[in-house]
Amino acid sequence: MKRRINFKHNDEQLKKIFKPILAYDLAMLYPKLDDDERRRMLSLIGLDKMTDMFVELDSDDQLDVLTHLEDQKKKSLFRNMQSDDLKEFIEDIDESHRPEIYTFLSKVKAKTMDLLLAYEEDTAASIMSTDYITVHLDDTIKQATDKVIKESKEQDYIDTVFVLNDEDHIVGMVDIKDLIIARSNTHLSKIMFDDFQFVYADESIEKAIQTVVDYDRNAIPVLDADDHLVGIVTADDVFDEIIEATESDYQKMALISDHEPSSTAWERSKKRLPWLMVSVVLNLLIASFLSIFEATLAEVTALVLFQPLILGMAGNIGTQSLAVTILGIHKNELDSQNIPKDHVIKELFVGLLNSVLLGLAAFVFVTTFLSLFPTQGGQLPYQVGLVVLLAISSSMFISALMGVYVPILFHRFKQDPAAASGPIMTTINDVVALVIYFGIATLAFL
Amino acid sequence: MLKQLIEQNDITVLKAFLEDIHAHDLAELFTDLTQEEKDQVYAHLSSEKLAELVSYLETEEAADVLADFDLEKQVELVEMMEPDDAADIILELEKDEQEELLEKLGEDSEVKELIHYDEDETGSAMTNLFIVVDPHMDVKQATKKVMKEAEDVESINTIFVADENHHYIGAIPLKSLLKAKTPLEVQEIIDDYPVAHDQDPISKTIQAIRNYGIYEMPVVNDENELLGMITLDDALDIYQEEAQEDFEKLAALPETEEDMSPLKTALHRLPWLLILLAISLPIALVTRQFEHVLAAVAILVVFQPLILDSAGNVATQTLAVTLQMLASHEKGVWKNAFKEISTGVINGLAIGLVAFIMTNVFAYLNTSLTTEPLLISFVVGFSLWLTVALAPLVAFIIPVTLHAMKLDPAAASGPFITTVIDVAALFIYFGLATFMLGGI
Repeated sequence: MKRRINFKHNDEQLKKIFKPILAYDLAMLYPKLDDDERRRMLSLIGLDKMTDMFVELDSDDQLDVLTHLEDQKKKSLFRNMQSDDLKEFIEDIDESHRPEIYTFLSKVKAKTMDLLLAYEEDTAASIMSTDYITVHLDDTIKQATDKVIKESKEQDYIDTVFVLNDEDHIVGMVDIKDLIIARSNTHLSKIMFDDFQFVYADESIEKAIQTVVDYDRNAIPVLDADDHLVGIVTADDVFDEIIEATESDYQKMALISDHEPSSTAWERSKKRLPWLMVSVVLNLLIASFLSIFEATLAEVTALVLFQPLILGMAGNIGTQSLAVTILGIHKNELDSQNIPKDHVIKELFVGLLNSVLLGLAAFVFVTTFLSLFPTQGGQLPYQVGLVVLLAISSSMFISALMGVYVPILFHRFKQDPAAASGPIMTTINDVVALVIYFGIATLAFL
Repeated sequence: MLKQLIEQNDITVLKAFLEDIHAHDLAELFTDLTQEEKDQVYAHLSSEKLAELVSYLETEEAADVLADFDLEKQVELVEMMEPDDAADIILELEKDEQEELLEKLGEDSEVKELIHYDEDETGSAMTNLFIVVDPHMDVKQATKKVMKEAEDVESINTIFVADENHHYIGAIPLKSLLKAKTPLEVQEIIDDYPVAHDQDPISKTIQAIRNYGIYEMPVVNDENELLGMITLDDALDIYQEEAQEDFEKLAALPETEEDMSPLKTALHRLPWLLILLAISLPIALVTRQFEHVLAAVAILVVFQPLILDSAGNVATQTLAVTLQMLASHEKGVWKNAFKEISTGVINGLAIGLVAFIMTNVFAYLNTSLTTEPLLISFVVGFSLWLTVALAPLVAFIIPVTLHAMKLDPAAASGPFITTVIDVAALFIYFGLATFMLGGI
């Protein structure tokens, strides 16, 4: 949305300009305004829109918004926010700001926040919202409908309502659609579905995401150990989680963690330099180590011609099996507890087959190349070809092996498997490949 | 579970099981069945459940299942499915079967309209199962309409407002409609709501659904006529598929299919590895030109991985950023390129300096390796800077060119970039070495 707001207009006109702009777009605009403009905008856009805009802002800008609001308005804002958004806001700001924020929360809300903040970060409960509607199994259709229409708050999720029994256990879910078309004398149990999908509060976020995606639900209930309903996970939050997770995987694979399209060249350099530096330092360490092979290299200059080939091959097959394994882990096909035998065996077989095939192809290539374009050394083309064959096959296979096992190990020790795609892996692969290559050559020719 | 039930052949139990199980779970079990077992399932499955099952299967498998039935049953199933799901599946059918089925579906079939859209266009994922009300209706009247039509639509959470000529006006959350007190016209309670165009790229629409945090996105054509909507669950599915594709392309993986035999998988991944072999031809040729200097200063070789790796890493970074921009059709690709190249220059300078210092220290400590530590470290550091500054340029020009030629930049950029950068890096490195150290 490329829109410049002309703040020279009077309040009435400005209000009209703001009206058709969506909350998300206002949030994109906010950081670009000066203090005066911000204050005017906040006073003109109305509470609901301001709430929607607020949740889209960075936490620094969120704190800035608060500085422009009177206490009463802050209270309304927090009252109007969904519990999961409010929790996220409180979680992201510095601890020192929290007590002040709490003074603007109602008692109930403050308690809810304490409860939500207590859940561990990777659990389903950490992305749940507590703004939902429950009805009792014996409520009449009218009572239930009234709860949804008259008693619901602005932020409540009403597309599905949750049915509880006398012990407060969840026994079913009713879609709003079925509720409002139901005849008034129907019993709730007739229109609710009782084979609903749910997650437990301490299950993983991935489990919650997978459940929402697999069963195409817009919301699923979150239960505590005693089967009491403690919250809901909604599809829009799941969508956010999925996008963040995939983007972070992609960025890790491409070595561009936390890339922001708007950042300047200077900021980009600062972010990317550490990994590059790690890679450079590691590479120099390899280099100093490889210098023990100097005599071999001086003697057999033909080796140098195929060094990029061997490193490239090993690196690429490693990336392939790494990517397959990461995808598998994320789709929950690979369990963290028992090693997924089928996957490992299959990947190793694929790795072995391609290593041997490529080794043979490289042999033909190298032998032909050196026959056509001879080098200074006294080695016969097929001899160098054989060294390359052995080096390629073994280093490719080892690299494929690491591509499979390293992310699985990371995952098992609760680390992010995508982190395995960093320069350290590349360096290990390089060292292994080069030691094999030059080692075999030294044995063969010196 | 399902297999045993079929084996036991207890029809009542099997029927009850099939009726109760969620279509997603059924789809997972169904995939493992033999054709005979599948026939058993077909025999005891209601048409509704069968249609649901087909929607939950992978498109190709779904098309196979659909093809198992005669035309009449196919039409019945397609009409029970959501039009966007049906359109995807029909596109996977054999050409003649496809034409037959489309003909039989009749002129005003929604599926037929969807099939005209390209897979990447927003229109291809629309459904028309929603409720539209007139802006001048009273809220009470509108509520009645919602209640009457609710049964036939996918969701009633958002009610769309369009005039008698189907021109889109806005949307109302169900909650506002239900809470509104008559007398009040629908247009009084219309909320600001985003809208997508049928020819927008689907990735853009998906991003908008996420940004605006909505469950239903209305879709209009150029004349602002309301054609359909995209639901959040469809957006999610499409996003996951596309994200996986992007990720695979970055890792030079061909599209993975589950349940492929290891041998087939291996052959499937082979081409990109073979391309690398082909690439090494120019690399080897270039290196050969510098054989003299390499024989004289063999230590140069041990720094070659450093230079190629760094250039490769930097190129991957720029490529990923550029691909993301091209995929999401963002503007400012050129401005971004400038930033990327500046980033390359800055980072190249930093790591070039570090490499210079480290190589120098290393060479001083191992005087047996070279008599010219300063010159060698200068060659290494300066080549590193030049190649790292050059890498973003290559990693930007190649995908943008491919994109302009209407080729898929994500799939084809990798091999090209690797070749160009490796060859250029070797020219720079060995060329500089010959120039500086040639006399030794």
